[in-house]
Amino acid sequence: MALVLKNGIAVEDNWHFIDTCDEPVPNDFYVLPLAVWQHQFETHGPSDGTHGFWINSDEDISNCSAIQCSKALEAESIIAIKFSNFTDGRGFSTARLLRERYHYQGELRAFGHIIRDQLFMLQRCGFDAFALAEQDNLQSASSALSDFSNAYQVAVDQPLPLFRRRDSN
Amino acid sequence: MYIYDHYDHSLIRERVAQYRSQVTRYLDGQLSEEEFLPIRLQNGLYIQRLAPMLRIAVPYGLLSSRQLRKLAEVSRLYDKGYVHFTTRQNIQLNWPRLEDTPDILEHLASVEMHAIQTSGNCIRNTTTDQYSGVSRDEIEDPRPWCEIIRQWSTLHPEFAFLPRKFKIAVCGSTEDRAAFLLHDIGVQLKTNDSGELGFEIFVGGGLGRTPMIGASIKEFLPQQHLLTYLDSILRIYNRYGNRQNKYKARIKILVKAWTPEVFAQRVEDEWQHLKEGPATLTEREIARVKTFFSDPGYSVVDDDAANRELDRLRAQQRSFSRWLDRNVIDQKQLGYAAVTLSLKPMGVPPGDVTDSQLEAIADLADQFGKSEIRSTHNQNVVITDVLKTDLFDLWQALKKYGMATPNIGTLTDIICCPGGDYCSLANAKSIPVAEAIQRKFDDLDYVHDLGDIELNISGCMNACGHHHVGHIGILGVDKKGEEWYQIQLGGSASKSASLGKVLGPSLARGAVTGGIESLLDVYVENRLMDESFLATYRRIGIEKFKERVYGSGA
Ligand code: SF4
Repeated sequence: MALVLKNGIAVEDNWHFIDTCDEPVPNDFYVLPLAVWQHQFETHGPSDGTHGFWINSDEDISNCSAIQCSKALEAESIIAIKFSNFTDGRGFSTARLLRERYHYQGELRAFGHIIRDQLFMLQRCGFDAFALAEQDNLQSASSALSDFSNAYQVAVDQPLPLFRRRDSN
Repeated sequence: MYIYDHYDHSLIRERVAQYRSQVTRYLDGQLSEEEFLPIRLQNGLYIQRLAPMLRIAVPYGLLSSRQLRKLAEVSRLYDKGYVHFTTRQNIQLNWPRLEDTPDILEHLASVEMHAIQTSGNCIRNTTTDQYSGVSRDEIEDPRPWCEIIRQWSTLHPEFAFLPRKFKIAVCGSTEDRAAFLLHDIGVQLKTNDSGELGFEIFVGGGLGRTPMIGASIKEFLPQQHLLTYLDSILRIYNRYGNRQNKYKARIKILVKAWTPEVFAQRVEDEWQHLKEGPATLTEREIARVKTFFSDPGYSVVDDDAANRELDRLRAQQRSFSRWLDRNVIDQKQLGYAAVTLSLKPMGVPPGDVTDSQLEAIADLADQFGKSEIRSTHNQNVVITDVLKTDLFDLWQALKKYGMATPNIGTLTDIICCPGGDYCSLANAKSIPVAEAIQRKFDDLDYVHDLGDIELNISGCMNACGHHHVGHIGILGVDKKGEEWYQIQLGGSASKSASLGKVLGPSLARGAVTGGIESLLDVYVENRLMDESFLATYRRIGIEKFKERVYGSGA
């Protein structure tokens, strides 16, 4: 079974990712494409915690009416953002919006093409789980989560900017 | 000048450590070429035609004499003993070895310098006026705001992978010396009717393939909202900028496609969520940053007496007089002057300085200034806070080091990108063209008589040499493997910014100086009184220039 970094620790991944609408769906722990999840949400209401959705880093969540609904994300336990290329910065903004604007609390996973050198910033934007290609080195890669001991800006991991925390201020 | 505290220090030290491990992983084959590319770019490392090139950040063009000495040392230890000042007020090492770059950065960190975000698709070094804090037309010192922006943009977690590079300039005076209308974001400091300080925000200016002048999207932004508003602009751009086509990826294309009005509305909508949030600047923080740039203590001097003495020396020495005219400006602090050191003597690539020149500049800044210098986007260096009574001594010292060429703002103060000699993107060489022009027009009387002329040269459409905004712009083009040069006229980077118009078909390298001579002849024949080249061009139009260069049949 594949390993993911979850809160800095390599753990076995028990989520099953569904790529297309015609794939059979297991009984629990599955992650749906956004469109399918939205359909489920609209017909059955919020998830019971056994499934979530994934989106591509180029998808615009502002266009998804279900996400805008404040109840939708409350009980959700996983949202995953797939980076088709590690330089697609849109996923970073999407993550912050999910956390800061839509108050999503569950697991937020980055997968697809991401590299360890991005972990610190991804984490700052609200990701807490990472599916990295370098499976053998996962624990050493996780050290990148603490590449920096501080940062200037407001972000999900630190809601106060440094200027509000400096000794002199 | 801003001084690091332990937070700033640990951040750049940690960045050096991170970068060092990235270089090691790359050299061990654990990090692919493709993945290493944006990582090294974000740390200023290009791999150029001949060698790697390391671009070092000079935040808003400010350097201390201590930093200059360190740069001299680094250029001796790891390079060929010279550095290059760029048109973005930064400094480049042209020949470092990749393996050495982490050590170079370690050296730089010891004097509060780094190479973070000096290239790549991220927020670049914020630039401003080289006369900040000393110019007579200043509304408000832009440097504290540049520093606030620097900290906000440094390793910003959300905006490290933008569609394309992103440049911000701040202007704090009535004259524009920061070309802020030609930046992705231009920030103009202003006060509103009730005397409160704030900013007018412009977006979507820029050079390159599709040059554009920035549009105002916020007439007055109160000062405490600067960062939340910048976050909003960047978020809109990060989410909706074009990522398919790198030639359409700059924010200006998005602003144009949506129109500035719609773009402004989208930013406004986003801003409603961030406004008044924790990133809102506090009075304390603004005051804290300002203290680093407060007056370094000026003596009370008799300005009139100093001027009389300068006049006396002027009468004795024509060359000193010329230098005062072109290279020295009066500061708002009476009795003090800001002196521009020309890095454009004949026969040296514009912007290049040797290690010993760097050390000399440092010594002179200690002796005559306040141990501080500024780099300019014209690739020169300024020493501020010089007592007028010291100007003669300073001039004599500068002459010794070849930095007293009295050509600032004239034809031979050429802005020039590295071009085909160094840059792998170039279509043509630019440095030899600059040199040929300097050689041709080496008669100082003639050059002084021509007055203010900006001549800018780029080796390709990326426009690092700002050719679109030169009064005369020269662009290298490739015609079937041969180097040709397109001439543009009438560009300007000032507040009445304009983009140059193409004069006609490109010229062969050998014909460029002759072409420039024809342009100057037309100007001299047509100018009224002391009208400048640009003003004459704007009055008489392009036709006469065209006829002279290409003949009446053209
Ligand atoms: S303008 Fe072109 S040739 Fe000149 S430095 Fe920029 S990319 Fe290179």
